[in-house]
Amino acid sequence: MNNIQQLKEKIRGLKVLFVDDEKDVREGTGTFLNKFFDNVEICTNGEEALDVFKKNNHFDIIITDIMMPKMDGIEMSKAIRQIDSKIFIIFLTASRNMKEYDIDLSDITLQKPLSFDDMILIMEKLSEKQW
Amino acid sequence: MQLKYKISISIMLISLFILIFISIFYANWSYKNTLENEKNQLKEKALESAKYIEIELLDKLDLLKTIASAPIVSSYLIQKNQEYDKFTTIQKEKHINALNQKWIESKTEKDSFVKPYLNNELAMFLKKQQEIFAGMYGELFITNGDGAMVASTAKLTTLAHANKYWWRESFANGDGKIFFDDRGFDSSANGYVIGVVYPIKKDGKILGILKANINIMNTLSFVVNRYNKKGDGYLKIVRTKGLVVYEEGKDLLSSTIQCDLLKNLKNLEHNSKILQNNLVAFAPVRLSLDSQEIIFGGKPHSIDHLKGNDDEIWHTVICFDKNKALAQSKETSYMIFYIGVMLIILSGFIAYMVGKWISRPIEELQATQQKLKVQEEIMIAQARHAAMGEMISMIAHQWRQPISAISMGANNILADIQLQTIEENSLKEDTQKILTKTKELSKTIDRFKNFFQSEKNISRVDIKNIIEDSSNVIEKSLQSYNIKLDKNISSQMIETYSRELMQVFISILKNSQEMFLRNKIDDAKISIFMKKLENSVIISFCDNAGGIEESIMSKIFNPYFSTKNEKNGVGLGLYMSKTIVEKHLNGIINVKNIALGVCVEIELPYLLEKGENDE
Repeated sequence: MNNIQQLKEKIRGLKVLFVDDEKDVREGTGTFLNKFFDNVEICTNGEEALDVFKKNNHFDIIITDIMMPKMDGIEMSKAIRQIDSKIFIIFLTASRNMKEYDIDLSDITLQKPLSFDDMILIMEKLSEKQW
Repeated sequence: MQLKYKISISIMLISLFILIFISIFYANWSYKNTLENEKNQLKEKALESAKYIEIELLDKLDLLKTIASAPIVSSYLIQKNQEYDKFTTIQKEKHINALNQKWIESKTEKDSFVKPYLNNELAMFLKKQQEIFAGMYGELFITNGDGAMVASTAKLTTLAHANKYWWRESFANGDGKIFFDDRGFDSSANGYVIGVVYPIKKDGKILGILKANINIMNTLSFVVNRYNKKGDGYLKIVRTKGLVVYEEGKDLLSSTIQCDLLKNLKNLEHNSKILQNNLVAFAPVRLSLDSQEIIFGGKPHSIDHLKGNDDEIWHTVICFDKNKALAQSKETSYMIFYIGVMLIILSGFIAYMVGKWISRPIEELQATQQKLKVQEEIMIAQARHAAMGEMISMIAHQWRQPISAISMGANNILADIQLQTIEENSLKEDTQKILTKTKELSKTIDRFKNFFQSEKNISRVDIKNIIEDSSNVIEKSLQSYNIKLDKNISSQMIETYSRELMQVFISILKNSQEMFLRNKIDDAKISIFMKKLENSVIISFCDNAGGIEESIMSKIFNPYFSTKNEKNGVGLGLYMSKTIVEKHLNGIINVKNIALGVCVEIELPYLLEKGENDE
């Protein structure tokens, strides 16, 4: 078993909520996440994701786009944090200027397009975290 | 060349042209005028001299008349005539011839036969007159009515004179005429002698003939010299057939005048003309012409003179070198030219100053125009750069999704490889997705790539397609900010510069997008409407982004005016849109506030005449 396979074994049990309004990104990233996690929920915007989170508050990780219709990723994350202040959130954005967003510095932000190495690095951090 | 130099040179050239024109005109006018004036003046002077000679001769005649009117003259002649009354005509002739023969044989004045003629009381009277007018008279003598001399101041060659031409002319078959005998040079008097012959009458009958030979050298030289001293040519006294009676510096009767003039003299003309580069004026001495009583003439040859008069009168002839006559005129012409040259130099300086003064506002205007042109070029370049920046931003929006999809496709393949879960079908699916998205990227580039190329020709296009193309370019950007685009448009063919119009549409949509972002509007929407008129179409872009403050509405088309924050806009979008629509597309652009936002209306003609872009 190689390192990636070992990594997958460590994190596959975590529950992931992935939010992105762009269909292609949603499909591609969703496929990728499904390769590593057994339980991945996918939503198209912040409003929908907040509803899903409220109905099923057992997610370990939220991976979300920032700019989305109806409710953007920042607003959604603030609402979710009011429910679960310690939830692990990863923001995805195409913007190069992170300062324009009101993001908690403890959160992780990744720039689109996502690289394989970035994804593995995040998953390694997840595997090291005490759940 | 600078404008001020162009103006000053133009003024100088015009001045030079005017000067040359005036100089030539003046020289020509002056030549003709001066010549004519000189001819007229000479003509008058010739007449004046002729009259002077006439008066002088008449003065001489008057003196002779005075002598003839003395009582002693008539009483002595009556007495002598009575002595002849006893003879018949033949006896008279014989008697006179005998006396004449005796007279000729008498050699000296002391001869006893001669003495009584020279010492009688009448002869003494004549001698007395000769003494009184010393130097004037050569001989003074009187004949009776039959031509026999009765008294004389000197012994003449003959005693009988009835057969002589001057006696016959004066006797005039008993009518009596005054005869001026132009004898020519008299060697005994060493001068020019005129014989004045006067008939002495009583009760209409001729008592005798008085003759005085008068030396008129002084008169002639006075007339000629007086004129010549003035410097206006030289005067000659000439007989009708051309023999010069008197000319300064030459012997009397030694030369003749030019043949060209003889015809004028023969016709007794008083005139002036140009002969061989000379101005020549001539006037007759009208002594005998204006009187029935006076005869002027003579005989070419007789026993006591040569070169006598041959039925001629006298004329005054003035010759004046034409060049000398025109010298004053030439001098004036040269003076005008020199003054003109000075004036040209002066006018050149004035022209330079005037040119400088006139050209200053024009040059300033040109400089301002040039500055404005440069500024406009800078603005166009800035607007182009801004548009390029916006386009690149739009391309980034359009590319973001396919690049993410491509990236995730690759990530999935790598993940399958690492997890050793690779399957042919999923590999094919991911690869196909990557290729599909790559084509999308390529399409986007195609859509944008012609946008920045300059457009030279008007094209006939469907305005619906231009709106669609414009919205395609910005659609992704609008979508990313949740801005809806509602298009209520239909097909309409128009002639226009399509890419420039596309730039306008995108700029308007981009402005709305900026307003939505700034005002954070929910339910953002841009509606595009179309209204077809008879000759034009109106396209309206209306949004609900909050509108424009009325206080700045009048400035929105100004260059460098922007409501956006500094980093987002250069303030040239609407300025360029107005420039394109109104100057290039012959249309009208207006902006007005509506209930929740703003409407930008663009009216475009269906047909567009060839404009500056086609040049």
